[in-house]
Amino acid sequence: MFRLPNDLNKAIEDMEGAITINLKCNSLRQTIEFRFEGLKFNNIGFKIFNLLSKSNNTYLTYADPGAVALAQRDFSDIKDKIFTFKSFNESIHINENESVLISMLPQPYDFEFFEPMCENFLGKHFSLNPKFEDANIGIGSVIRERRKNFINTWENTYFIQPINNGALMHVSPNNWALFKEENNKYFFVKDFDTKPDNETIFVNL
Amino acid sequence: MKLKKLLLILFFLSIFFPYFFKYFITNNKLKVFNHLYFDSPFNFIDKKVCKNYDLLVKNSFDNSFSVSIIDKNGYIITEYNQNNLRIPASNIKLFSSAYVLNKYKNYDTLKTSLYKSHNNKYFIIGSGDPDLLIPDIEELISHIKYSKKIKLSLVEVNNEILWPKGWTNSDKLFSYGSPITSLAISSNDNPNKDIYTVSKRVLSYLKTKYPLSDIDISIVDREKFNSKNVKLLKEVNSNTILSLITLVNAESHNFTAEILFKNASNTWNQNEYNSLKNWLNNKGLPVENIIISDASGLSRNNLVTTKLISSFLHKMKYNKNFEIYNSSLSIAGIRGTLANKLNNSEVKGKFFGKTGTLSNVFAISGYLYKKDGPITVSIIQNSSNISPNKVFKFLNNLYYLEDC
Repeated sequence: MFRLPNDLNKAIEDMEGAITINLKCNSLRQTIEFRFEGLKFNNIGFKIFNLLSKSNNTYLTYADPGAVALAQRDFSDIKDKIFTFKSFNESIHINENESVLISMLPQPYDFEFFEPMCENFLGKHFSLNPKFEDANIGIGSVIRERRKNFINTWENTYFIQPINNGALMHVSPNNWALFKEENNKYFFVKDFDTKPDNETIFVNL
Repeated sequence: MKLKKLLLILFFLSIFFPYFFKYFITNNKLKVFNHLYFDSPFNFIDKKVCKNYDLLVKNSFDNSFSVSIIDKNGYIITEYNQNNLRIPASNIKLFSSAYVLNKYKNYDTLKTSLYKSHNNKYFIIGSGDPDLLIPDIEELISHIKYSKKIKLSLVEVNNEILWPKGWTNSDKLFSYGSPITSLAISSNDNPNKDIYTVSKRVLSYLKTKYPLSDIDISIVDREKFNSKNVKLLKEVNSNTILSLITLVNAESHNFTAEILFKNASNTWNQNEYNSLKNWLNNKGLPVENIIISDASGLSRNNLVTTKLISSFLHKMKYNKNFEIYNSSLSIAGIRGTLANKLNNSEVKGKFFGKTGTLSNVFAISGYLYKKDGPITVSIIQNSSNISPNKVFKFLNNLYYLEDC
């Protein structure tokens, strides 16, 4: 039976459960997605770090030095484990295949440094709220194809998003679950093997 | 004959040097010259007529705004009321944080230290570490050895200079207007944790540890403290300058802006900001008639022009620390005070800047990374009816505007 979490704490609990299970699976690249506005993603990233670092050597990576600087201040106990995509790729840790890597909010314009880091790191890699697709028209078909292939190397571990009249959730290894909202209450509608596209969601709500 | 030739060559070189220098800088030909240019009194900014940009500004803003925009090659592509003196609010931090960045190395830290004098007196002196906590002070005093009589002085700034000029009494009541002291606990965000509370906590700690000692805790004026005849016993380090600069620019933390500047300019014993104006002046920037009254922008006495801010931001691109500086800013839709702005726009992640907000003031300045390269933008509105939405709409339109 699929059930939406009542609050963020329960959502994080569900995410932690999914991560623990997925740590043992073969897929090396996994995404975790909280598609809400205004969340403090650093805190979620830190919770993921805490969970994973219990039994793995874990690193936290960000797009730019400013984000790293703020994270190192907020989480000064682990400041040696926090890097930019670029600096992690240039560090000796890039070859630590037994370690776990967490990447925070990579965006299409971060790809110059994010993609090489991903290609060079062969350990377990989690990305929190990544945005891989590039809406830029001028991106070019070769890059678009390469980006598509890159996106296909990622599997989702946890996903939650409020949508028009409903919500979409995925807690791996379960199916994707669609919920309909009526009078501020959510009712389970249907589950899917893969992430339903907008049309499928529209038809089912 | 040879000497004559050499002198002739030198003569021509000296005449044409500024032209060569300008060519290399504006065309980014020799990056080795970049920081030299930043530190020089030269300022290679020219004007270019860009009707589409002028039109966008004209259609977007009324007379309460000032606007200056410089393209990637150093051409002013549009400006409006650019020489009007305006209250910039936190846009002042763009100057003060750059000043600090130039004085320190990125991974330097501020120190809170315990000293001992030759006559067995202890002193604690701080640098305003914004993250300092009571346990940090306890860590320091844990290094005080047993003695029949223990004398410890907490060295702190004079009560008369706790706030820069131009901070209003109502601002002083809030944590964003907390007093600027060198032994502040959590940036003085809680008025109940002032230097007197620290003094009581220190006394209580030492009395528990050494119940038989006669313990005397005093608060000493920082101006009267002489660091010459004392020996360092222990230090607590702050977060790195890089983290603190990002706190200043991305989160607009006033206390951190002020203490960083006081440390960098060595002005803990006075509220003095002339060194910042002089620093800008030495870079050949247009500082005529401007007033800098603090390092955070909370003072209503600050007056600058958008021409100065945009020229400065453009010149910062040649600073050796530019990557760090740029990265310390808030980012549209991503981080800091701009985290919830332009979220659903193409500008998300492409505007790195600093906001400034006070009553009747809205300012925003920074770098807009357009497809053709970054442009430098500075906009200030001083009005009883400020309209930030107009500014964000303008930034969105500016992003799509074709290169001039």
